[in-house]
Amino acid sequence: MVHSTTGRRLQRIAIYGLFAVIALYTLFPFYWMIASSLKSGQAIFDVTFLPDLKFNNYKVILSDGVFLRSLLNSFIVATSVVALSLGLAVTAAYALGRIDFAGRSPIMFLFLAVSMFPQIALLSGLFEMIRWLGLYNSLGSLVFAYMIFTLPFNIWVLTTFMRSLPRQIEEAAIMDGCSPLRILRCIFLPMMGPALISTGLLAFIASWNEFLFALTFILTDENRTVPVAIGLISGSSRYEFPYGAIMAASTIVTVPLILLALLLQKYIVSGLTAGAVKG
Amino acid sequence: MSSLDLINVVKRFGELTVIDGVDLDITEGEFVVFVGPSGCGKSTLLRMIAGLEEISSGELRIAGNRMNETPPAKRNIAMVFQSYALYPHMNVERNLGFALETARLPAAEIRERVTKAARFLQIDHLLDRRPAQLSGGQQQRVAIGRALVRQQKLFLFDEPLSNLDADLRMEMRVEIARIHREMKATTVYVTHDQMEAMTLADRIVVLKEGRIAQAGTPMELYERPANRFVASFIGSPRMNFLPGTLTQDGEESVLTLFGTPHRLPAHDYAGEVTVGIRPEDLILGGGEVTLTADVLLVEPLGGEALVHLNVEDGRSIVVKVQGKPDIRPGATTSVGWNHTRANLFDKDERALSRKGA
Amino acid sequence: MTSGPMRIGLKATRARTAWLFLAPSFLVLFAVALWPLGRTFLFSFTDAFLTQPDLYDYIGLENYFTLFEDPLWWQSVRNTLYFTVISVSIETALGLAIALLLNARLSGRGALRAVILIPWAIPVVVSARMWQWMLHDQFGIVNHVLKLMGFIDHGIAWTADPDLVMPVIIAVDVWITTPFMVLLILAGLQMLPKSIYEAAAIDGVSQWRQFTALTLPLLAPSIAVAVLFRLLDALRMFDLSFVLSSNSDDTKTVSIYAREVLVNFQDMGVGSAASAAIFLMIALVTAIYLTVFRLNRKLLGA
Repeated sequence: MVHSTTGRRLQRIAIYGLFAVIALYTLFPFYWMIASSLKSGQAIFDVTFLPDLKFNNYKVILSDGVFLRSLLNSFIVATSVVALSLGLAVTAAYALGRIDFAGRSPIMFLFLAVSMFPQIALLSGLFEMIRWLGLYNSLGSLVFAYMIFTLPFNIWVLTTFMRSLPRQIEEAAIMDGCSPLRILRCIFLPMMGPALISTGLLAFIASWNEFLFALTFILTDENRTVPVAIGLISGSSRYEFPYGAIMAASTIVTVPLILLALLLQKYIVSGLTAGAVKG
Repeated sequence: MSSLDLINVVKRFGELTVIDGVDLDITEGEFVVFVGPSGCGKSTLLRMIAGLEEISSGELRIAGNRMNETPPAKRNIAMVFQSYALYPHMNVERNLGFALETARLPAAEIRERVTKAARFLQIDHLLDRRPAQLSGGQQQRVAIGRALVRQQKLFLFDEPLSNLDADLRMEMRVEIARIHREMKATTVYVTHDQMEAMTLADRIVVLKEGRIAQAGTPMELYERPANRFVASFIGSPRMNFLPGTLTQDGEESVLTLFGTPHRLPAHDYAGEVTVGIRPEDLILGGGEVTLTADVLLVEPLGGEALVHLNVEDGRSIVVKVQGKPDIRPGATTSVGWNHTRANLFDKDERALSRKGA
Repeated sequence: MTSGPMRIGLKATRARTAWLFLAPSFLVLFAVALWPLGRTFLFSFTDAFLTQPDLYDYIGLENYFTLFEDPLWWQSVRNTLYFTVISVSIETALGLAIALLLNARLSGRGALRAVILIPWAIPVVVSARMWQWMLHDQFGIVNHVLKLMGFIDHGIAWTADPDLVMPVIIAVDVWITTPFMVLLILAGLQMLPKSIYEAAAIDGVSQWRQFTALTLPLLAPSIAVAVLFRLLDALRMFDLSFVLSSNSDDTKTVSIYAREVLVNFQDMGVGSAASAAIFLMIALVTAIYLTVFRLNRKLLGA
């Protein structure tokens, strides 16, 4: 008996050791990013594990109007994408999840197929469409383009969720004289809180992080989003690369996402798995 | 109050016919119960009346007007669901008033009607609660209240008590009977519980495989079941069935049971029959027909007792007796009944009537 | 039939509502996905230039010939496939291992689950920058630590050395996307019925046998779905390579190649041909994957 408890304890220690290794592996790059961002000037080139707590890099990056502007742009794009894709997806999901009509399965399949399209395959056609809509080099082009990966996914997840809502509640609402729109607004929407948070969060993160379209459809600095801004920062030579500023900018973009990920972990996970389980 | 007419109503799901030509007239103020085993179509029929299922063919009339294509909310009906279907994010008050809110009634009137219904159902102290904070019985009251508030002419109940435990079920049964007595609204009530049907109904409609097996008052169904299915469905414990043959002998009929002939009043039928006798109509010691039987088991229920017997071909029957019978398992006894208490069914399981009756 | 021709049934009304509710989403997806895809295919048969996309002539398959004669295209195809196969394999194995670890009922696993989510949640560009800095040949922490430990004398040029840059990109991708695998596999693990493990334990089945005979087969569908998602994602990889090793031919993916031709060279025809080829390639991989998976399932089921 004594032997087996020691064995168990060893096993536990081993597992916690692995936990620690994984956590270190995952988190150290972030620590290093933040530590580097807090070193000023030449200090960044000395490898010291403790930061200096100098905020020079932040001052530089925040006094740069272009970076602040791109932060704002990212926020505008991401929130607009969330609002638009959720608004569209909720109504579509009601149709697909609650109404039995001919053509439902092919449409579900079509939406699923669209969500698998590689973005690059649409680039030239989308380029033309965005020019035609007069959205080139505007934030609108990104809000529009991001529908490709947010809308089908949201429809898919919300449809699954919608299907799980009790049928009799909807029937009670029908008997109470509700139109489909009123059922959606007054009965189902309030019941869908968790699913809306999940899909909204994932849409926000995806839009906040997107790079290819943001790089291609935006020409001028003042309309860029944050990932492109960071991706395009460069020094006059390889040795003058402003790593301090880049790390500061990266920290600023990352912190809200880390907070979202930590606080709303549950919703992110349920959204991700809801999207995948059905595949 | 509203009358309700079903005229040759049919429901098909693809190849499957679920409701196969139902004709029924329900008069104003009547309390009608649809009863039958699961899958008999009783809920589907109710949902067709509500407008939640489309009618494949036939006609539905409410107060004389065709309603087949009328949306549910415009049929002047209120419905109570098995799962209560309360809106989980609204408090009791909003749940009760939601239909009126949807119909854009003035706030003062909504409040008045909600208060009245809540008081009537003794849930006025719960108005601020959410459904999740209520017991099953309270939720059921809110569900009924939601129907009452709308002051409709026709009430539909879809197995409203089946999610409640036995005590509450009895209490709510009494409550529903009280509501019907006071509101006098035409009511259609679906249940699989024949006891609920017997106690609540003015008229019971027994459904089997999408058709009406029999419709009539509880006592009619109990006393004169039209077929073996209704006979076995209504009454608890179930009616006993014994196989026999019926032959004609002049002005009389002869029923042969386990090789022994018994003389009966005349019937218009000869051939194989099933004799059905209710447990409470069997007499220990014998009657106009008497069989011998072995006592299998005695179940005392307090005021009465159930005696399980094995008759001659090993078939088991149940006798209900008052008090505690002085009889033991293993003993041999005789058991019988009087002709008027026996139901005869032909080989198509239809009830036989006496000549001239 | 009693219902007259003018009367609209309840079911028909519901169906009309459904189409009405679907219309806006349908329209948006048509404009943003289906139409552009069709136009991409169309442009791939033309000599259009990005500056004047309205002026074009049909030139048949010429763009495809140009594309297939370009060794750089084939190199980017090789790069993409190599990256996809290696990174998805590692991520699946690692993801499965971490998921099994996290499935153990231990305190602190919730916190760890939250922690591993972070690399996935942040922009790939930021991850690329972060690792670029850590892997810097002169000032990077990785070289510093390796030097301290005595493994190397001189800093390694991780992202400049043609032999190292692809492994580095794969390593960073593993860091970024393993959490995604972990979460999906963990969700699958948590759906497995507990009772079969109790039954197996009572029957004296060893832990290893429980894993190979119960967990793996039952988990296969979850893993398969997660792998498909990753596969689709890896095949269209763009940003990581673009930022970490911008102009290196050794890490050029098909997405980078297509965008380069389209945007930098403004050659809409060849760029569209490359895009269309990528679309077909990914569709083909998906189809093969799904067929193999389904076949496997059938074989296992039989």
